[in-house]
Amino acid sequence: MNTRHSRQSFLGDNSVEVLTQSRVGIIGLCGGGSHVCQQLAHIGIGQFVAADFDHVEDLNLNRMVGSCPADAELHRPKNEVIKDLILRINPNATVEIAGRWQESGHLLRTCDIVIGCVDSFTARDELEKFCRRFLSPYIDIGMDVHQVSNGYGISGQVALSMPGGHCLWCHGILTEDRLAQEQQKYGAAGGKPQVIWPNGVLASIAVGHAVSLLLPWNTDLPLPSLIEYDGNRHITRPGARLQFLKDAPCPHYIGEGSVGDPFFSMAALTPSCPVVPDEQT
Amino acid sequence: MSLDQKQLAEVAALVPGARVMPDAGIDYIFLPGLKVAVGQEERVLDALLCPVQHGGYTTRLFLAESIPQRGQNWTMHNILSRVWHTWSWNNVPASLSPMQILSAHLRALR
Amino acid sequence: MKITFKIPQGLLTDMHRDLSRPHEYAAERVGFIACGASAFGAGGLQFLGDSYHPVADRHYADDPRVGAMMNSDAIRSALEIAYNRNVAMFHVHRHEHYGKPGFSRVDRRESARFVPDFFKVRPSLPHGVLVLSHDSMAGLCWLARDKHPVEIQEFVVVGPQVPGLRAIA
Repeated sequence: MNTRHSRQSFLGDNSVEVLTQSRVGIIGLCGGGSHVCQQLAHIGIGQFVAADFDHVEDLNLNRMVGSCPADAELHRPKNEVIKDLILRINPNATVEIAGRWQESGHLLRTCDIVIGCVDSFTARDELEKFCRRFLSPYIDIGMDVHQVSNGYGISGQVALSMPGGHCLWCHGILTEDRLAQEQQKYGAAGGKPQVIWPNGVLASIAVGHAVSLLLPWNTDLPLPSLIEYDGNRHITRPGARLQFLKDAPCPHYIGEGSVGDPFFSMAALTPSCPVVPDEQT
Repeated sequence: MSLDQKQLAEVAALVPGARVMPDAGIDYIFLPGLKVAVGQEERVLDALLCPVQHGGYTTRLFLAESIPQRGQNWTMHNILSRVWHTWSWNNVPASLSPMQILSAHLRALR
Repeated sequence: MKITFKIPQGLLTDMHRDLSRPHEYAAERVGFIACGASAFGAGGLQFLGDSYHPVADRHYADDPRVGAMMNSDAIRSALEIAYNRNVAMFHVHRHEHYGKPGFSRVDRRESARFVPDFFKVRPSLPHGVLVLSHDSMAGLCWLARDKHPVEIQEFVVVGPQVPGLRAIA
């Protein structure tokens, strides 16, 4: 008898089956994403879409779980390193790797959950919009190291963006100013300080969110849509804004028409089934 | 800026099939088969015009393919579930008509 | 072809709430859900519930032979939605029980009368019908106007506190 998942049987009698059949997309496979993939593989997620266009370099080795100096020497694609990591842990998993997620929408839209571990605010914005379009829960993680008066502060957050729920704009993670500042650097967002242990904390929360969506182990699970992390005091807490958002619906994803592929046509799916284009009716 | 039918018709006269496609509160204008003059050459590309502020840009034009010989700092985006490319070209005001906005962006690629 | 139907939990709750409202003379209520559509995986199809449009009280025909009968104004209103928006339209009604619902002979006969009309205004997208129970749903989809309907194989309700993202078989 396979006892591999016996210690997580509290997730339910059918939990192994649910996890095996679940498909999770992870965008960004370095600091946060590598942790996420490792944990999801251990838990037993059966299907992965892992996207990152970058290659392993020396400066990634301080935090990219699953990477080693040889990967940096060989300049290996991060998505291949992570695929190897997942399959080492769970050889039965299916791992589809992609470069730029923007070009892999056809894979991402098939995911049950998407977890974003990206540096860029623009990427976060577009990922969230994409996930809302395909009604996919989107879990976003981000960390920051910033200078404070007496040294440095480590902080971060995990946001859960559910269709119909509060979004990254509601939580103040995305603002026009941040997007504008980023665009002034032509979209470059990298080079900021990053270390492994806050990434681990945030990744673990994200994985907990993902599992609780698939297999809620308690009917009172709060699933706060924003969890903030104080990395100096090692504290996580529900986002301060949540109390003000409680009775206010998300104003950013309202209105009809932002769901589905607006370019979709049955003619493309079934070439043998000719369809009169809409314009001709 | 809300798009009125007259302004949209002006664009559609140049680009048959042009239509509004909403996405999370932004009314993009989809421009199928837009003719883009690049020097002596004419490229035909699908395009997406954002006639309002977009990520720090006053307005923006997205193309189905990048044009490396023109513009700088090309970036890739996924909007309306499709891949788009755009370059760094700012300060085309949203107060202009969609046709004027489009022309101003295209001028940068000529 | 695998066909999946995905709906936010909030929208499903709103639909159930509306379908539970009493009507002056109809025994049950009906409505339409407007959906986005997309390709899904290798050759699959996915519908994504966007907005619910209850049939207005005055658009029911007073027919004691059936639980609910829409009049032509109801169909016209729904056709208008499909015409004005790029959406796949699904008629919705509910059977009052638990467990996987099925389409009755009357359901199938009546659906076949009006669903093909949606292809006149929005031929590029499929249209169909859904039937809900208190905890499950089933659906039929016309991929083209002149084709027989096919079953929707999978339903996914997206929301927290749903026991598993695939709460409904």
